[in-house]
Amino acid sequence: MGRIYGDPNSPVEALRGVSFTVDHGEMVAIAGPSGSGKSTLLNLIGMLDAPSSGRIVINGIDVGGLSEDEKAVMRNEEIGFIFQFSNLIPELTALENVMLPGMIGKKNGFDLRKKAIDRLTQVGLSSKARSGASTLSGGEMQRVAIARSLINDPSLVLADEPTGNLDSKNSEELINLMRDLNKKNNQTFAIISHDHKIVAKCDRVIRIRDGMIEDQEDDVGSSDVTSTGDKSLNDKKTLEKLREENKILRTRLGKLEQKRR
Amino acid sequence: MARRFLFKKKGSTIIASSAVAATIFLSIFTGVIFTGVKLGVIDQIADYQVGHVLISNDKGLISTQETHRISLVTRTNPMVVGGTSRITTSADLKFFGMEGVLEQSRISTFGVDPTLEQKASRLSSVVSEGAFIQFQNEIVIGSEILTQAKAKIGSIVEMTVSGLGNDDVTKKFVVVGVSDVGGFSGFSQSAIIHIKTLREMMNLGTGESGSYLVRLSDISNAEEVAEWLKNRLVTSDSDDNTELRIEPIEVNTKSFATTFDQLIAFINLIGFVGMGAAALGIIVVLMMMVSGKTRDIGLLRAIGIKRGGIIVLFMLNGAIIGVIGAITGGVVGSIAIVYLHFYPVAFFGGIAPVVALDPTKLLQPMILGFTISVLSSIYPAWRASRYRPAEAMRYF
Repeated sequence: MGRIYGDPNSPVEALRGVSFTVDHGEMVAIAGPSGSGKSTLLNLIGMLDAPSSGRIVINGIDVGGLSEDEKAVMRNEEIGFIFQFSNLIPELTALENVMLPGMIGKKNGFDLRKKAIDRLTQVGLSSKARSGASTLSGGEMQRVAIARSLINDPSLVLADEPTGNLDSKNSEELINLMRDLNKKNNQTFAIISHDHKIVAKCDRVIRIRDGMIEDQEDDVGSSDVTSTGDKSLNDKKTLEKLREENKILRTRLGKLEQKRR
Repeated sequence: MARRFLFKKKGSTIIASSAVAATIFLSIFTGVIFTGVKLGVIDQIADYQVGHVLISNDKGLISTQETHRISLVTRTNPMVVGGTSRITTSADLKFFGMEGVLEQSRISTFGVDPTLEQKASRLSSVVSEGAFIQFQNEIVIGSEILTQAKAKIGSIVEMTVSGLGNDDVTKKFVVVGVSDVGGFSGFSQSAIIHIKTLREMMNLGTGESGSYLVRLSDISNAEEVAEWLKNRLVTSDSDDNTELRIEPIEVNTKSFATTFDQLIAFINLIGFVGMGAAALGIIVVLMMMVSGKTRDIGLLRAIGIKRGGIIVLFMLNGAIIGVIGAITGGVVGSIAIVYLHFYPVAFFGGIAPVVALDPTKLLQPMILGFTISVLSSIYPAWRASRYRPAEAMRYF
């Protein structure tokens, strides 16, 4: 798929011919420098924006053919969002913020409340359920955002720089939390991040540069990248090593749909 | 939850609700007051000048037999509480004082029966000083005339009236009372004497009168009673100028009521302009709210709220502003109306508005204000629903 912004006379190609597949239960990192098109890609996957070309298929449904309302329903039921700045509604309590997607989906109030408390318990914030969102710390807000993203049991969770606003301790906790939830709930995670610790925890990393997929690495979490403490995921030697081990599938940089082994 | 989401910043909501409330209050107040003043003036015209039903003829003179017949027939209607004959003419007055003789010409003069007037009108209440006439040599004179003539109660005044044969007849009277404004057209420039005296001076028969006023227990029955009287008193459809003309108060005040209705319509127009200004205020406030909530709108769209949901959310906001404004304006307006109903305050030259406790007069502006609030929120709500989630969430 591709995404072009601006008028036809001076188009800006934010994404060019990007193509990949993410399997159910997979945790994928999308990495790349600033302005490479990561957030654009996530917005397109999350149906927050529409591609200029190509198509997006989620759970077998080509979302390009959906109406705005159908997309809204699909976002509500199938996708959970975690944003860099948590984007909680400050006027509401932590519990109400978690319940919000369920309320939009017209879920039963009692069950929803119970489930929201369960989700807050999962992220270790049951004691803050009735605290105003604006009174929470940055780490707590992100945990609430994670709980909110999971309330409707989405098949896909999209996270845009979830640790970008957190200190290293909170980042570490959040990464572990997301990984645990991914394994426990068998939900698919696509995470945009510069944070090598997050990338290292993911099953696969998709690298983007100048709007194109530069490279993809499988099983990053079990690779030498983290065990050796090498923080440079762009490290050519590491990539070569991984390629030699056949852990990365070479693609025509987005022109082909990659099949995981 | 929606309420807290939308109304965290209460200031703008209070401003918008206040604008609606003020407009509703003014609409209620002006509507009730001006309608009340109109009714008050009509009441005064009825009380002092034409009664609830006025019987007259084109000739301006009802015969003695007709007057007796009218008197007998009207008494049989249970809705009639009184009736009286009146003669109206113009007269010249001469005052004899310390500064010599002062003359006032062509003064509107009423010949009335002081006994029958007690039940048929409130004419005696126009006397602001002294007493109403009782005897044939007494006169009540308007305050303006007395001031100009430098006369006072107890002064002697000479009145000259033209009789039927155009012979001038002059008679002296004692001033017993001073009349003031009444019936919206001023008894301050008129004179009131006994009808018998005026008949004598004008050389009329003992029962002849210029008109006959009928007072009812309820003014709203005027048309019904007028019709009832027509059926019994009007005998033919001839063009004879002695044919009785029986008119309810609505007919006698038609031109005044029409003029006043135009004034009320103009005031209502100003009210609508006010409503328009309030609507604009609501649009501005809601647009600011939408602008301030851009990121949250983006989030709500991202987590699955439909465009219709955003529209409902912001229209709910407009509806809440409308409800708060309508209730506030309605309550304040009700308090003002109830107060004026029980404690009438005189406006416009001493006329106290007749303030009816009519819930529809309250509900109409309240419903209108609420409707305008909801309608005013359509555009901001639509704008909010058009935000693209990805762009909205980039907004800080």
